[in-house]
Amino acid sequence: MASLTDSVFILVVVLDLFLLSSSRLNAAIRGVALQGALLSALPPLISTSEHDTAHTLLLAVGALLIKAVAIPWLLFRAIREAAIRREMEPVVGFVPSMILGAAGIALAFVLSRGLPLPSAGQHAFIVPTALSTVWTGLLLVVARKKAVTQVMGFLVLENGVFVFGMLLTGIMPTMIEAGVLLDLFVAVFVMGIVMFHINREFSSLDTAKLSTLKD
Amino acid sequence: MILRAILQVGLLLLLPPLLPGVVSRVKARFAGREGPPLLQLYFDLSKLLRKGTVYSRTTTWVFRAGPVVGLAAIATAGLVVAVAGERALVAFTGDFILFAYLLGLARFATALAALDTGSSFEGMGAAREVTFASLAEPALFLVLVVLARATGTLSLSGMLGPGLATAWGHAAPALVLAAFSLFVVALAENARIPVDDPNTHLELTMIHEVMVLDHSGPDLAFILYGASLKLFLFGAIFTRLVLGFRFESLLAAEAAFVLGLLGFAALVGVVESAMARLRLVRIPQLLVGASVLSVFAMVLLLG
Amino acid sequence: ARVSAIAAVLLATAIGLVLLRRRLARAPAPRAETWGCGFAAPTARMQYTASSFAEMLVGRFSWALAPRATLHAPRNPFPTEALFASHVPDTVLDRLLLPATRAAGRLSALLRPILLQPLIHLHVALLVATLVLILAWRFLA
Repeated sequence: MASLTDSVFILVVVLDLFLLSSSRLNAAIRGVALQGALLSALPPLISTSEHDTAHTLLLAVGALLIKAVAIPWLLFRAIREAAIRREMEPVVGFVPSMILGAAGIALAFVLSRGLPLPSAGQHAFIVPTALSTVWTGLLLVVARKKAVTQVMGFLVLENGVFVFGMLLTGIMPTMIEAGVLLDLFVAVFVMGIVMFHINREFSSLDTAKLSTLKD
Repeated sequence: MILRAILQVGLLLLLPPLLPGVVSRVKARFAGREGPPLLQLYFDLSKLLRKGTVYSRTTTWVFRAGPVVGLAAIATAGLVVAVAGERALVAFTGDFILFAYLLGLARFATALAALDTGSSFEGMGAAREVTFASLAEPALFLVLVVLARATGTLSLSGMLGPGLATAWGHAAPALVLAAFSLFVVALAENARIPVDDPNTHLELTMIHEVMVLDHSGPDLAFILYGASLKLFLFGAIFTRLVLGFRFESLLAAEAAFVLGLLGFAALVGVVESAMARLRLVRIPQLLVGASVLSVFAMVLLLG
Repeated sequence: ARVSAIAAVLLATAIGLVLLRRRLARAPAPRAETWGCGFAAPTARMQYTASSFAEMLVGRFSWALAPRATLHAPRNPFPTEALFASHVPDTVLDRLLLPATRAAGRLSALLRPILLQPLIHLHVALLVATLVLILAWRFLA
């Protein structure tokens, strides 16, 4: 079902654009959760008959639970405990960040045809989607002030890397992808603890205030 | 041929006032009320045509010309829109640019009439309307360019005609994104929620309604009819874009078109009931978002 | 040709609507006040100005246009006077071209005592240098 997979990829990119333009934290976290859910549906769609079906399904369910349930729950809890204001504060405004994101996505789609990557033949959208999602994640990290949104940017970045991993399912075993997921889970957990501590010390999660440490 | 032309002109002139009636009815049903009758706008128009006009002391001939030029421009724009998948009455390469600029001429006439009154209230509405239109017009052009690229023609009749069915076959995701963008542009151009609230008359929230406050009698009838005609034109393009397949007989095509148009009006009513109006600073973001979606659809088509 | 046909239809529709309106109106239209949003005595100074009309767009592109505004805000519960004036200078002219020409003027003022001395061999040397440059350009390019 080639067109269904293509629709999933396109929906992931549309979610990228939505994340760049949304100004409320709740909507953005739900967008990241939805993106994670969409990506977790990819292994069953892409895997060919040479892979173990049970393995693929396990990977998909695991990814769904972690990306779409556990991490958003952690983020929502962090927001509630630290009593963060519900709006994202942009360093780059919403319209410029949307335009930059769109420019990056367009470049990704145009340039990825020239990249010599293996097994990209049957799913032409894997590489552009991965590049676009990585670009969106980096843009979110750079262009927003709150620490929660930077965690979200890292999550989106990892989503992009996950899509890249889809390219290699024929060559490397799928266990490697599960390892990547576990890595990130630990990273987010640690970041959550760090955020609690930052908030407790400074009663704010604005990373601009971290530079006052030097006085 | 003659029958087809008469049918098209008849649809163009007689159907539009039904659409705001459908929208109000859907909104009322959402709120649990019974709502005004579906043909309410027809009754309003006939009542307004019979009333006398009152002009303000500060206005000149520009104010009187505004509604006339506006309605004439919108009605003329209807000549190039392909209704129900048939060829439009006048079709040539690049007629979509003429369509967009005839609508722009109508907006120019209305804004000029609003500024002519010298009231700061109406001038504010004109400024807002013009600023948001400057953001909505690139979005509209991008949607039309995506359509042109998908169907390979540069005429509205070609874009919405038989080529659309084959375009849906190979470029469906791009056309879905373009349809979504077009819906947002239609909401913006027709002053619907989330861009403007057609029911409220508060300074904080008015854009289109403010501009027409001083008109009365037949002038107001022209303005209301022109607004419903604009909604009809955008709905015609959207309906044809979504129902992209061919129809065998003329009657089936027209019936499907009318049903699709009523569905479009119902969808507008649902969106109006479900959302609140956006803050004024968010509206440029919404329109830029629609443009960016169309750009993405274009990138998909280029590959 | 089709565009002219559409323009003709536009004109005809406009004229037709004007005639329709004239036929519908039985008595000459009375005159009344403009909607002033409840303000009882509007004057001509309170009308909408061009800078207010353009304010939204100028604000959106303020990174390119750099508008200047003077503001004396009304203070106290019963303010006596207030002033607001805004002005958009021509960016390319005022920020780029005029300073560039002024700098060029200063540069030439510096060079003038050097270059305009009544020394014939200096002028001839300059002429020869320019000629050599033009000839070399033809071979280099």
